[in-house]
Amino acid sequence: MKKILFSLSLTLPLASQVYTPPSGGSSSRPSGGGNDTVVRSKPQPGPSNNKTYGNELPFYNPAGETISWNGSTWAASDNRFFEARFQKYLNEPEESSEEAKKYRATIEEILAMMSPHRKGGPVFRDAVALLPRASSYPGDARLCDSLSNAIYTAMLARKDVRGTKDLITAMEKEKKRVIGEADWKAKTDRDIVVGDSKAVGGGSGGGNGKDKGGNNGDASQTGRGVNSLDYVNKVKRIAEIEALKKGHQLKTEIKTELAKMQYQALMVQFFLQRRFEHVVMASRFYNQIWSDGDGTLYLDDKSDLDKMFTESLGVSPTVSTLDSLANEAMHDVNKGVEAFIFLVEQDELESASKRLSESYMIGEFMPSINTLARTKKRKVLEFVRGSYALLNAIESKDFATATTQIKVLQSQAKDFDATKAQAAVATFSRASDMSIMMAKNHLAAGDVEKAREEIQKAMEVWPQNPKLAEFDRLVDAGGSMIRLRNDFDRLFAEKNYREVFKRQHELAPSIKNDSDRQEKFRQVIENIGTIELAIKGSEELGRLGQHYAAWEKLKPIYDRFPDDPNLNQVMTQMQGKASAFTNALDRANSLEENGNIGSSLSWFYRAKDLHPGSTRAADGIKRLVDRALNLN
Amino acid sequence: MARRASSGVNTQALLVGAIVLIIVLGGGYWFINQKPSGFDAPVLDAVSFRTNGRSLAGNKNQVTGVLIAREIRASSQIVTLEVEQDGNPVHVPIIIPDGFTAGNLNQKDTYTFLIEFNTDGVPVALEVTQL
Repeated sequence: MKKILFSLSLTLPLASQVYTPPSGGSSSRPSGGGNDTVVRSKPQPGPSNNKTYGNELPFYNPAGETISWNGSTWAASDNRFFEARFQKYLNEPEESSEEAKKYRATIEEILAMMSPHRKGGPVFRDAVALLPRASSYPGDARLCDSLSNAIYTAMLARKDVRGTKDLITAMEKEKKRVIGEADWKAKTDRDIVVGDSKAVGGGSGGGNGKDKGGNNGDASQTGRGVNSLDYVNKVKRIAEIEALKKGHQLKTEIKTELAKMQYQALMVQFFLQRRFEHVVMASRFYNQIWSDGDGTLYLDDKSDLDKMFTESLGVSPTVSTLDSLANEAMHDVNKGVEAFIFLVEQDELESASKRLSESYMIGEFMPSINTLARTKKRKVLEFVRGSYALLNAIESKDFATATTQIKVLQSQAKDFDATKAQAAVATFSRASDMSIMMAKNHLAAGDVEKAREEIQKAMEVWPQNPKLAEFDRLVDAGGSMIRLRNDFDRLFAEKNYREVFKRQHELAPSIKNDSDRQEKFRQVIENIGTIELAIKGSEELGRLGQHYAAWEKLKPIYDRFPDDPNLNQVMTQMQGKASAFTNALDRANSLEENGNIGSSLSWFYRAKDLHPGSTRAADGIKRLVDRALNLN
Repeated sequence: MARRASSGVNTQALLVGAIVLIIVLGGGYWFINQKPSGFDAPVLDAVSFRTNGRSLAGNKNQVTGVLIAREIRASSQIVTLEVEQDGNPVHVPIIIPDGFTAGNLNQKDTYTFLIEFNTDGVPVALEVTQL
């Protein structure tokens, strides 16, 4: 039952809450219907059979909380239209004006007057008289006016039917009179005998019975008795009267049905508009207007609305069905509001907001909804906004915002169930991250096309994935890497190892996976590191005045790397300060090469005298002593 | 009557002065005419040696200097004298051949060597005296 109510309640926002006339041709309208809006009792032919009042009926699926309509499906709680209305409602103040109170009191009074349980029975006229008063309240949307108009129309129809019945009665009397005359004529008319002048008078002259008997029975002559034109005319008149009477009887029945159909259309409209109090009022008025007990609704028997009633109830829908559904809806709404108030007090805002949104969808115009205090509604407003923000974030695949929103909602409502949202976020974000990782791998392997495909997948799953920005930076860096690798090769070709050493931190990432270049790079860094270390050490000795030691420390490095510009510069500077020592060594070496051992040895001793710690001098002395003593 | 100071020559003082004069002049003469080591060979031109020792091969010279280094091998050694010439030190390595008897050669002592240059231009000790 609730499902049906929910379906009905959801129909209205989507069907614009208006009654739409059927789109069939004039042949489908009952004769004499004119331009009246009616609910047809005949099924529509053709493809429009599944339509109710010209529109397909939306279907609400409570399991998935979705609404299907015209081939589209929406989440019931994620409907932009409903979202806007519900949030507007949550911000609205409760209806506590004097006018509103009077309106609700009037409606209650009408319902009480028309209640079948009222002592002395319903007070029809007084109740109808209150409808214009109720209609003056803006929140009624003049629906009570529409109801009073429908009642008036029905009453006129009833009055018209009464007049027709009087006419039929008069016709019956006339028919009986004509029948009596015809019967008399047939019974009393006799044939005329030639020569019997008395008989010519027609027997009215008080002739004796013998004369009449002499005519020997019923008249058989043309123009006499049943053979007279007068008699035939009477029979014809009787048939005419009977035909007229039947015609009026048929017209009466049609007028009654039309009046009922118009009235029922209004009731259905009230029901679909979720004006359940109006449905109940109309139902009670209906029973007073037509007390014949026929409350069957004139619905297209293949329409969604008819199916909804028959499939759920198993019987044909009646006015009483609408009445009971409306009553049950009102009951559900009131219970939903009670549950909302309790849940808000318990800080269970998710359940509270759901109960209130359900109640609002069904009973938007119910007093319990309209009089709900704004202070209570505001408590769930923030949660509801957050919920919609979460749904929008997930729908738009903004999982970063969704994650944040989940945390916010968890802090707001202790009953917030984030399982589904978290699962969705985790699934999509992981899929996106995985694609980005694959793209990185492909890019590292140089397969740009596959990397592009993976990135496209990642973007489709999660367009705002922060790791996409990381990937962008990686791609940018990839371009820089190529440039840096070219620089590296160029510097090597130019033997500009000092520049390589200077830009080592910049160049290193560009040759990360290139073993050949890495080996070159390693050598350069190590050698220049050695040079720099030696230069620093020699400079330190120079500062201590030990120029010979400084020179000797740097000399073997210089011999290894004679092309290093820095080392050359330092060696040139030192040459002057250590010239005596270097000169001694040079001459010693030169003389040694010429086999002039004695002189060479003398110079090595001179060098050692200048720099007693000189290893070069010591080595030379040792070498030449051995040679001089013929030990080699 | 006061005794008049003596104005005669102090013979004792004159005698001492004459002796000192004789000593100084005799020492100078000895110094000028002495032979450095007492070897009968010319003094080595250390600078020439340092420039080209091989050109001196077969020459005999005497050289005096401070022993500054000894390189001892199995049965022979090379000692180095630091000779001062023209205010500059010149180092003269000398082979002390096997069987050369010269007593103890101590570093920082001054020696005079009689040397002969071999074909490598290296002086070979023939004799030595310590000064």
